[in-house]
Amino acid sequence: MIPVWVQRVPAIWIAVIQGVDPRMPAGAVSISVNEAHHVVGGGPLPLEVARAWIQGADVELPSDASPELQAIAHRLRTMLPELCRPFEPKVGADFGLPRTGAAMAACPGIPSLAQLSEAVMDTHPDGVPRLSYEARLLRALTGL
Amino acid sequence: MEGRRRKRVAVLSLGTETDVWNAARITAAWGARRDVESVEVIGWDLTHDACSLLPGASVVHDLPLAGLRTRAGRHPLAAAIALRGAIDGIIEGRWFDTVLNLTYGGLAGHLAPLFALDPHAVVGPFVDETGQWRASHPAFEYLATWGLDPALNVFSLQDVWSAGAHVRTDEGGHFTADPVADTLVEHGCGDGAPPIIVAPTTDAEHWLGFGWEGLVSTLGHAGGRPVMLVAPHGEDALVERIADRTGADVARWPLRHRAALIRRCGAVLTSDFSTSVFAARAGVKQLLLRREGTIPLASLPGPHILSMSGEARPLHLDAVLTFAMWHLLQRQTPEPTLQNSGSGLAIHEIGYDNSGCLAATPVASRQPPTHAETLRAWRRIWRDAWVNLPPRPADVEQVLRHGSSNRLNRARVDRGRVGEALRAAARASEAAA
Repeated sequence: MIPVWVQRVPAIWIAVIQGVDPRMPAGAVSISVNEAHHVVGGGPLPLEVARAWIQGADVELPSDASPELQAIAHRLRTMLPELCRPFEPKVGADFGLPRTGAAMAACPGIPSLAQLSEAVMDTHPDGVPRLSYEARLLRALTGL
Repeated sequence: MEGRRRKRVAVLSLGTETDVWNAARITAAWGARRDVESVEVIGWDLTHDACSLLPGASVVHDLPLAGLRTRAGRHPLAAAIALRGAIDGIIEGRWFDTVLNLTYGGLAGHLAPLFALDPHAVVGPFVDETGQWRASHPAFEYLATWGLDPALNVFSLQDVWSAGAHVRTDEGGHFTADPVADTLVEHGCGDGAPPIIVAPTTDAEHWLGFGWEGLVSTLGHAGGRPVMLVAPHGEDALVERIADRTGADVARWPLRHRAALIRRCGAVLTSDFSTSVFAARAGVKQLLLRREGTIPLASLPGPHILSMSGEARPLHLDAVLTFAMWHLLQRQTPEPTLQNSGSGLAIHEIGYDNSGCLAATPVASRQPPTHAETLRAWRRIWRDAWVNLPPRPADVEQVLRHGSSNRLNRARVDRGRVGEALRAAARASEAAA
């Protein structure tokens, strides 16, 4: 059995009314505009949104979203890294490989080990990417 | 070692059982070092029993090969998380001071630094943080450049790995004696003469000039000792067939007890390389039947072995019996047989040469005598190069003038820094002349 947290979380979907937008990707975490306003105004961040973000989901919204919706989505996207920090130990403990999870979430479908290992390389000032812990694990598995 | 923390050492052996047994010398030597607290073998779960036999090793950790493959087939992340969990379980919060990687391949090369306190302190080949292969010792550079080329390589792979792991190449590396297994074997074998172990392979039936049944029956009769069959991997059906037709016993011992059995019997006849390596670690005499007329030096199983093969013709039962009696049972053999190089036999004694490396010395062969001396000279040249010594003039002269094959010698000279040293020595010699 693949643990449930391995499954990709495709998006944090901002909708005018939570849960009723038919364009929302399957499996996305939904947050209403009002709730998003509440969060960026200093309110508590829902745990499922934090988990989705840490596991690599991006904030998305309908292509025909109003300027107000676009603005709140942009603010939420900007603030989420800091807002999620307190949640990282808990979510990270469950997940173990957060960067790989983020790379998974960023790819459509199930990426290959090679694709994942490229995505989790460390950047270095000299321009030559370095093997991160997770990249080593993934590259090792290609040798099975 | 007062005042200094003793080292926790990991030995990464992620290969076959044969690869695991090839690590025996290294675990034995490192396990005996006073500054080493523990030698912990990390192998596949499938080779756990083989790893458990390694001398000097105090702990065996398993990585789940089948489980990882299954998970990787379902989802890459599932495999990665399982692997990470296994690694964390092995490290248990204390990274290894030294990691000896005894496996050539991307998997072990990437994993080895993950176990190490200092990722650059891996002994053996490994992949550095930029993704480049690194060799911790010139022996591993040699392995990468020459070791896999059977024509150019002049060492057994065991020797190259040992040298790279800072272990004497003539280290015995015998399996640790297990009193329980020894007692079981004593009772199992009874009071009579210990059997001769025969480990046959199906493949050999195609190139031997006789059937295994004939050999087993005749050997038992002529040797005055019973024959006991041991099945190499995948050869159970063959062994059952031979046992049915000859009445020979079959050893169905677990691997740990099988080492004790072979040690007690002291004589093995086989055509299986893996069994040969195993028996070499048990420290017994062997007659190894091989298909090819020449021996690839890379695959020398160990010392005290007589290797026998036909040169472009099948081996004959009489010849195999003669040499089995001579080598395994110490019976006298007529001199002409041993010296009969025209008989189509290639017979080599495998043992340590005077530089402590495994070598195959022709007993009867068509190979010219200079061939063996040239190989010895090459070995000395490479081993000197590994410790930054210049080649000895006598060795340079031997390999440049008396090489058995100029083409091979040219290929050896033309590559790498040893080649440069050799050319410099040759130039100096010419200038002096």
